[in-house]
Amino acid sequence: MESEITDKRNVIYTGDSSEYFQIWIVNIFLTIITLGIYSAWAKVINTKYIYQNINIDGHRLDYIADPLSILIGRLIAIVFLVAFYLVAIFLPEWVYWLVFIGLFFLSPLIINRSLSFQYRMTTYRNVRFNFKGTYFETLWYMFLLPFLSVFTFGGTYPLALKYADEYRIKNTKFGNVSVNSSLNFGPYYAAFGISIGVFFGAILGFFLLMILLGMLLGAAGASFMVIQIFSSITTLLLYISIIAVTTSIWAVAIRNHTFNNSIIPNVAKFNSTMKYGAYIKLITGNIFALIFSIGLATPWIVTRTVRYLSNTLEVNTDEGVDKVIDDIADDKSAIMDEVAGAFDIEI
Amino acid sequence: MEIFGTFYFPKSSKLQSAKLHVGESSIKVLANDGSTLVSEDINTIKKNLQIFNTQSEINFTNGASFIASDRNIKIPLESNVSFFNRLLIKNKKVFAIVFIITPLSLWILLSSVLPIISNSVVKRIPDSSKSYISEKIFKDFSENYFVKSSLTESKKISIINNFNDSLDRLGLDKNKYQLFFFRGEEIGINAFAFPDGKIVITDSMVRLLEDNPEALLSILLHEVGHVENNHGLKLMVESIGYSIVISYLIGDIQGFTEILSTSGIFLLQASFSREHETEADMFSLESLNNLGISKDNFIYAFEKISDHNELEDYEKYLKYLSTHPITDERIKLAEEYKN
Repeated sequence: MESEITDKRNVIYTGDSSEYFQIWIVNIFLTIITLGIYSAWAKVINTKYIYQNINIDGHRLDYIADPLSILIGRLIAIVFLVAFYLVAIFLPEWVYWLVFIGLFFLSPLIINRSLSFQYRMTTYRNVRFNFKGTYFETLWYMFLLPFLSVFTFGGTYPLALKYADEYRIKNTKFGNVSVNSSLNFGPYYAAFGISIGVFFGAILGFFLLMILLGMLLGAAGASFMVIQIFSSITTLLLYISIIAVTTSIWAVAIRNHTFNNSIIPNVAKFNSTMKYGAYIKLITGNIFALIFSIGLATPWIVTRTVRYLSNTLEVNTDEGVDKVIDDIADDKSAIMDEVAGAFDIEI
Repeated sequence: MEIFGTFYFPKSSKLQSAKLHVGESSIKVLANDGSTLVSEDINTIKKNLQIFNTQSEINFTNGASFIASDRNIKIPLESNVSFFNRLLIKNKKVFAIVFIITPLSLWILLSSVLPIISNSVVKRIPDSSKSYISEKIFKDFSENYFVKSSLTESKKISIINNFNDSLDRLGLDKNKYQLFFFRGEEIGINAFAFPDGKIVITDSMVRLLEDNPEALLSILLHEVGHVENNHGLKLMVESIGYSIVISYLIGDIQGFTEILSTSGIFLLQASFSREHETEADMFSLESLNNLGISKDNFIYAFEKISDHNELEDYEKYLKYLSTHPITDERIKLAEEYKN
């Protein structure tokens, strides 16, 4: 039997940004010259490189999707999207609303299929993951419950998100073992409250700064244009920092909480130790790198983010980790899942 | 050849360390005690994609797999996607070419191929659909901005007559074009066209060029140029194209794609709409020429507008952000145009 490694840091990302850059740009090249056909292969190769470099407890993850089915799924999805645009542009408004309502009630199905596709294409130790949500539960936890919080002016929104996360995690399976999870409201409300505070704080700070800047520039005799340029730059910086700070707070609070309160019974326990300061720094760097490189820094961004997420996660395996059975049937309705998967709804 | 690694049992998380034995026609996995775990014909075994130094893996038909522990070892089997590895990653020269060509071809795709596609799509849109879209946008627009014009009826009629007369002389369908006068305080000195030929012009624009009807005509003909070249619809179709292209190419980081594609689309569209403006300018200049009207009226109109807006300096810095050509450029175009 494989010896149990109880390393403190047993999730390691061995990928390298210069390697990933080469793979990524070659994929973009091939996608362009094949007019998008290759994008399915690109998706598989990119994902495989990342997954195969995530080592958990001495074993790697893998992504086993078949590019051809992703391609078929994407083509069908494009046909749907174009049809939807055409409906929106050319047909009478009531047809649009009819299609819209139809899509709303189809969405839980799309989400279920898409999650199930993503999970089943992910393997660890030769065992696939799976998602076992049902139509009505997905409709309730992921659509209606968040929607109902409109009536409480968003007051129950964190609650709805907590239920949605719990629902998703509890319906995740690793082979024949269901993941268990019991989450608290606290972190959701805290993250929500802090995000709102940061948002309004930033807006207030922005106004004060603009007034100050306006006075200083005005006093210095700057022209209207200079003030215009300064204010556009400040607005952009504000926009970036609000995005960076709020998404980071949310990601750190919720990822730590969900991992630390979920277990795969008898198989594994998790410990996520992401830090607010470090993650805000990481995300801010990512956004600036993305903008100033016109997207070329994507591989570097992906690499450092995955590395950080790996470094802050600990997976403690139990003796049951050897006894998981992959009982997921190779059902023939797979193409539907791939169509849904092609909508690329990544939750 | 023997390779050390881990054997993963079929459909199970069970595993054990093992040795891979690659023979002439078959591959065997042996346990540490020497017993055979699996043995299969070399032709039916599949090799998993190995990229750079990820571990080498082979998959057996029964679902079992074997992963080599040493990252430097490559199990000597052809992977079905390994052509990718050989073609591009290992060959530094090919990679260097790809590195240069990719951004270039992306630019060509977005700046040339997509407009060509959208051109041919737009040409196939029937007039009935154009007027349907225009009606819809026009309705939204007038609900928000329409304030009844304060121009006198006789003023409006003289503008309309002059415009219709010119359309007739240019051999254009005057029933297609309809002028609408808006007071339009929020939209300032402005004129714009809808895909089906509706043209909106604001009172302040009319007043600015009051003393020169032919300058106003050159502005109206500029708008006709937008309609004749289907610019509005082209932008609509192109933006759908951009979203699809960008999300499929760089679609692997959540959220970021959105930031990038919105700003990217904005920049590209600004540059295309500047192209469209130039095309419309050319249309106006040619039409004026055919009507025997001097291009000085065109120059006069844009100089007046630019004097009024006083945005010259600012525009120069923000060339790439602006959706209209800088007035200087525009006037230069007109001056270079041979009457």
